Amino acid sequence: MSEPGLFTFPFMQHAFLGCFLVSLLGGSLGWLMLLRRQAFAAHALPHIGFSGAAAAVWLHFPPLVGMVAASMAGGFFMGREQQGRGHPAQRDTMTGLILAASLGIGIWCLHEANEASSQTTTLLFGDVLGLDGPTLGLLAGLVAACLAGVALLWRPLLFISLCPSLAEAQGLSSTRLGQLFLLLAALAAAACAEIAGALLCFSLMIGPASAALKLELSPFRGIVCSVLGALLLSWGGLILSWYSNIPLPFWISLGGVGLYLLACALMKGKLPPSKIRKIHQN
Amino acid sequence: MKGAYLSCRGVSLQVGRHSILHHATLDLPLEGLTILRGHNGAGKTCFLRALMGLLPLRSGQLLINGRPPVKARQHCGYMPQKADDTAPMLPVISHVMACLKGTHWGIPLPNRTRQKAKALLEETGALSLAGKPLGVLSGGERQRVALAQTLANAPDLLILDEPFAALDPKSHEALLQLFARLHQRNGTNLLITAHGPLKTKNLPLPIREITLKEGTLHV
Ligand SMILES: Nc1ncnc2c1ncn2[C@@H]1O[C@H](COP(=O)(O)OP(=O)(O)OP(=O)(O)O)[C@@H](O)[C@H]1O
Ligand SMILES: [Mg+2]
Repeated sequence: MSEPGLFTFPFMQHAFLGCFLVSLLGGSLGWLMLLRRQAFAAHALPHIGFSGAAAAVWLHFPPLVGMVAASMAGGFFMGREQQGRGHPAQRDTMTGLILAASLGIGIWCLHEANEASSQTTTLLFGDVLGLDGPTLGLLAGLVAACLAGVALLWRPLLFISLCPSLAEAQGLSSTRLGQLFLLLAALAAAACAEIAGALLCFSLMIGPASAALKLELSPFRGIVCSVLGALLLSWGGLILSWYSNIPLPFWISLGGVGLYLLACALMKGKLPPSKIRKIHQN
Repeated sequence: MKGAYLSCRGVSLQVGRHSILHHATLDLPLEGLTILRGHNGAGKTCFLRALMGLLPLRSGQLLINGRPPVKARQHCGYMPQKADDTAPMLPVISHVMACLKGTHWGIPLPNRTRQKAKALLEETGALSLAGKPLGVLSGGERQRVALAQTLANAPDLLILDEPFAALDPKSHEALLQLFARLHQRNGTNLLITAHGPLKTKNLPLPIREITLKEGTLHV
């Protein structure tokens, strides 16, 4: 008798569907976050979400609810303290402090919850194979809300990210927009963490996005490219982890680096010979 | 826009400890091309930022066509002295497209926006740069793209901070011609700062020079 294919199991079908959903989010929000130079925030948000999930475990709520609430609160305060683009150092300080505080609280919640071991592992590393129907439904709702928010904010967000001084001269507030954006990013991070785990979820946001930005594409193409990259990583990672028995986040994070290197190689190949000569002469 | 004017009512403007304007009260017509002069650090950039509502006044009232800056700025195009370089890896055309109705909600129609952006780049002689990443442009090229971005929403009043700074003599001429064309075709008025002499002799638009010196605007 031949071995059953990986698509025949419902949990595997759920996993592929879940990966599709978070790739939509991780790819697009990740591209915007990298464009806005918020890689550290992308790293911090899911970790903050982890603490919320830990608190939810303690209080017997679904972890995803805690994760969404905590990362959104984190995003809100990170955006609040982001005093315009004049003080990027200050912004990173706030992000770091919020991250540290929330991780501390998370550890305490897990301690109180007294069921640390298995739950913590699930929260940190994700549980893509354990997705049930209701969780998938919740995830789909999150993705839809988040993408609708991005679509609504699209023009002012791009305007303030590409041409901040012109946008401010037209009356846009970089602080308020940044805050709204971080709220959306927090939602996305929570959703991604459900699949890839708090520890590695930002690799799904950062890897494909960094490759797409490296390719110097326009925003629309960049986001499409980034989403496709995220899909490649998560689906490819699922298949590979099925056959290799190595956890999914491993494939996602290394695959992200691979995508970036590929983009670098592509860009090197794209330069015409005359230009390369010029670069060498300078 | 015929009869554009600027009114200052007891305006004091201060940044840090530096006083830029001291109780200035004047009415200034902005018809045609107005050139704001003043030595380095006189406060020209700060004054223009105050006109765009980006710098709060210490006291007094500033009105453009009878309206405060935060209301009037929707009809103004502002080009800062230092252009933004926040997303150098994105192509020039995307940077111009982002400025077209950038304050509206939602997603624009990509094709229409692209056509408009191309027309703007053509106007400022930068169409050949459309596909290049912004970060690789030379100073003068960047300036031309910045001007295209400033023109994005068909402003009635252009406020340009040192638009000639990085341009070669030929581009100088071309820019002055563009100013004249904008004024004749759309009635656009301009308030610019400049340091060097400008060949404005045969230009078919009214020209006025004002000087900012020691906290006073000399008209
Ligand atoms: N945020 C600030 N805090 C303190 N001082 C400032 C600030 N911004 C500007 N200044 C000072 O105000 C003065 C006027 O600056 P401004 O940029 O307006 O000069 P400018 O006339 O445009 O000069 P330039 O011809 O060199 O462009 C300068 O001495 C500058 O150092
Ligand atoms: Mg200046």
